[in-house]
Amino acid sequence: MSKTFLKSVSSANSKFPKDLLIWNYWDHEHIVGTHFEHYKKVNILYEDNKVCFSERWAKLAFMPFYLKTTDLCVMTNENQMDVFHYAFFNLIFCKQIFIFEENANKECKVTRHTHLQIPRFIKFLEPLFDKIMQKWWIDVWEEDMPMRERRLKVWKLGFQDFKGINYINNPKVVKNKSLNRNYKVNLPIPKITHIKNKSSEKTFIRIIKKSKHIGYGLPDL
Amino acid sequence: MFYSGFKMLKEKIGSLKDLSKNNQFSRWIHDHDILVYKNGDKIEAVSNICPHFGGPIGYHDIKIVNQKPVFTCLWHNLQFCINSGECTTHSNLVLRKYNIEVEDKDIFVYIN
Repeated sequence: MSKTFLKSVSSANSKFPKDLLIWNYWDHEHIVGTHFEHYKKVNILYEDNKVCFSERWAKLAFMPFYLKTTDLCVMTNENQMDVFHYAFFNLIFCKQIFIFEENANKECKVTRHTHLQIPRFIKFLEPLFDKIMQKWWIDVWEEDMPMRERRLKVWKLGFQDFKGINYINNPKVVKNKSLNRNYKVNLPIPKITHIKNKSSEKTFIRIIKKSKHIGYGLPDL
Repeated sequence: MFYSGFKMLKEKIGSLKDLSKNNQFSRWIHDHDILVYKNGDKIEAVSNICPHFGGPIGYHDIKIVNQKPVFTCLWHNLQFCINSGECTTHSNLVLRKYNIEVEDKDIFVYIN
């Protein structure tokens, strides 16, 4: 059967530095917490500073069940991340390209190109596909926003991963008022499940039914 | 209040009314994100910044895990015992607990 692709392009400007956005996209475990309505489990099979190979259990639009997907995420270069999704015995294939463009003010624009492989005879569905992709883009962008804002906020206060903030941890420490450091991400992001399990399978499961029922993100993160 | 020679500020963080809906609330005060919650009959306060990646500890109800009452970080499921502040998921991570006072219907917290 002849095949082609449904295509869609979405983009948004952010006030965040590029590295923070990459941190967010590369934190594959957060999808279970932050995007809890769409994902219930992620299993990171392999990861290094450029590649992440994982399995996800995702609930797509209009589908009443979770679909297991196999996902390969590649940092093609410092400004581009390619993600290859396979599902349903590899019958479903989707490629997404994320382009990160940071301006002089350290604010980054993200553009997502989506290509879903389909039989050629349903190419006419592209407008509908684009509509669904645009909605998905906005929903995910908004779900991630409190996390990004909070991450930047604590970073500016001197936060260090696996340590916290020194003047909070130790009341004797005086807060550094002139702290001004650029956000820098180092891949891969250490995964709590990797550290805990010390096994080859790194499954991260949602343990809380809902993740924001008490008002996360309101009003000051 | 003094903490080993350092003066601590006493700041109003909220009122008992703020606890009525969810038994917890969080506020940023002088760059401290503080979670105030009911632990049985007691009112306590703990840092709301997970030392893992900085996610919020609150926003979930307190759960009993291995006979310990815990809060769970929203971002990566790290759990912290509310009695000690210690992380039960990953060793060497501890949440700071804050001293508080309740005067009339207002809740005050001591911060550096």
